[in-house]
Parts: sequence; structure tokens; C-alpha cells
Amino acid sequence: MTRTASSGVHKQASHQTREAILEAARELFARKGYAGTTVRAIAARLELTDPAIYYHFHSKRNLWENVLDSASVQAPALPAESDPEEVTDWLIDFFFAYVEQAGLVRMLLREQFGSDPPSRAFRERSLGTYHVAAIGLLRTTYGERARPILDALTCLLSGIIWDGVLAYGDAFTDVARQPAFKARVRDLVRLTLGTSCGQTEH
Amino acid sequence: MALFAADGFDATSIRAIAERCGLSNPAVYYYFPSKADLLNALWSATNARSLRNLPVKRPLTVARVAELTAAMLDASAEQDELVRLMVRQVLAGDQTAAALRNQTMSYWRRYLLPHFLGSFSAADAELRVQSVTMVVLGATFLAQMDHPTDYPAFCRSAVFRQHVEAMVCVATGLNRNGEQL
Repeated sequence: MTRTASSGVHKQASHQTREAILEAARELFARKGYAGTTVRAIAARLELTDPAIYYHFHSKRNLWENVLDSASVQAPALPAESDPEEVTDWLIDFFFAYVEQAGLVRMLLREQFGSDPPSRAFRERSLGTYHVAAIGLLRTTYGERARPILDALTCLLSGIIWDGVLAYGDAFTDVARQPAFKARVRDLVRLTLGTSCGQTEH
Repeated sequence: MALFAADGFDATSIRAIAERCGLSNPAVYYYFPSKADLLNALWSATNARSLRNLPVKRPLTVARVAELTAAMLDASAEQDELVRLMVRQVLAGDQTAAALRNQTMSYWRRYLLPHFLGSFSAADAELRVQSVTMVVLGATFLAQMDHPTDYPAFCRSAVFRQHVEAMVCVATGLNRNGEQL
């Protein structure tokens, strides 16, 4: 009994250490990128030794892959009704879930432009989640226009996030929370969905 | 380019640029009182050279929007290396690179705006210009990530062109048969 209890406690402590390492790694990778972060720096931050890190993760690369695996953007709950306004709200919510992860986006952008495979895998996974969730919702409301709209929205919203991250860095999350910014994103989404009104033409 | 790639924009000095170009320092300073002036001039020239000028059509047609998109994609293909360098530098915290990137975004806006003002109110034109800019940025970044070594060729491919043009049409509120803007 005692042995099981102590190995249970050991497992819990081990798990906590693993989580702490991932958290510290996430922070340092976000700040300095993959190349600029060392296992030693991560260890030092947690007052651990290098071997303690390697016990959980066999290499810096492995640590990086795990950080990405553990990072995910939660899709918001699908709306009950799928009228254009509900769809717009849902898309905006999903967009802001990404905005909350501006630090992660920034780190990924840096690595992705260096064509790093785990980053690419993460991006494909995230976009995959987004597409699967969005396409059903859009089909209900827009039928055969769903696919072109989805593609346009993906580029539009990705572009907004990348532009924001490049223009403001980690401060982008705060900038994006401003009402004026939110209103502008809403207008852009509505324009793409074809639900904007008040177009003035000469 | 080589200098900036090695040291970044902040750290590269006018002297280094002058040496590279085989000019004397005083000569460079005569024309460009500060590094900022030099970079701004280089940058504007690069932007102006790569974006094809098109006359404004009233009203704005789908075809014209497609041509504007194609012009932006051509510029993107031509500047692949430079864009990658800029993005890396901005993300590494290079202030000069960030300022230059902002300049390019402003340039795109000034490039597109007159075309939309021909058919829309100021506010509606601004919204559509932002939409086009963000869609093109998103599409080209995605393509650059997926094509680390052959982006220019991919960017010039008909398949990619048509795809981006179609997305820009959707994002500017064009309807399917392209009649209305």
C-alpha cells in the first residue's frame, strides 16, 4: 500500500515538474524563439539542473514539440441558431481565442518563416479544427458559398492576427481588446459574409 | 540586403552601407542626412518599383480588383526574400524593420484606396482596402510558410492567383456573378 501511495505521490510531483517545465519553456520560446532558448536557461529559470529537464524531455526539439502539442485554441461553442449574426459572433469569438494567444502566434510566426515542421503541424492542426467547426456552420447558412467564404475568412482573420502581431508584438492582445478594433473586425467579417448594410455607391 | 540579413536594420551603419556600395561616407550623407532617410528612400523605391501602377476605373470592376490583386502578388513574389527577412527582423525586435514594414502597409493602402474611392464613400472604401490588404497578407504568408524554397514560382502560378483573386472578391463584398461591388 505504502509503495503504491508513494509512487502515486512521486508520479504527481513528476507530473507537476513536467508541467512547470512546459510552462517555463513556453514563456522562453515565446520571448526568444526556438534558436534563442537553451535547455540550460529553462532549467535555471526553475532552479533545476539540465538532467532534470532531460529526464522529462529527451531534447530541446522534443520540448518544443510538446509545448506546441499542449497549446491549443479552444473553439467556442457552436450557436443554437445559425443566422448570419450568430455566425458572425461565433467567428469573432474564435478569432479572439487566437488573439489571446498572441505570444504563441508570434513565436510560431518566427519559427514558421523558418519552415519548422512541428510549427507547421501545429498550424495545420489549428486551422483544421477551425475549418471543421466553421464549415458546418457556414453551410447551414450559406450553402454552396460556404467554401469560398471560409477560405476568404481564413486568410482575412489570419492576416489580421499576423499583421497585428508584427505591428504591436505581444501588446497586440491589448490593442485587439479595444472596442474600435473589435468593431472593425466585425465589419470586415460581415463584409465577407455579405451581410453588411449601408454600402454607399456613387 | 546581405548587410541587413547579417546584422539587422538597427545595427547596420551608414558607413557599412557606403562601403558596400563603394561610396564615400560624405557622399552618402550628402544625399541622405540620416540612416532613416537612406532606408526610407530605399524602401519607397522598392515599394514603388514593385507595385504596378494602374489607372483608376470608375466604377470599380471585378476585373480591376483582380488586376490589383495580381499586381500585389507579383510584388510579393519579387520580394520574397526581403519579406522573410523583414518578418524575422521585426519578430526579433528590430525597430527599424518594424517601421519599414509599417511603411509598406501604408504604401499598399495608398495604392489601393484611389481605386475604391472611385466607387465608394471614404469609410466604405477604407474598409474594403483593409479587407484586401489583410486577405492578401494572410494568403501570401500562408503560401510562404508552405513553400519555403519555391514561393516565387508558386505565387506566380495560375492556381494560386485565381484562388487569391476569388477570396479578395468575396472579402470585398462582390457577389458571385461579379456584377455588383
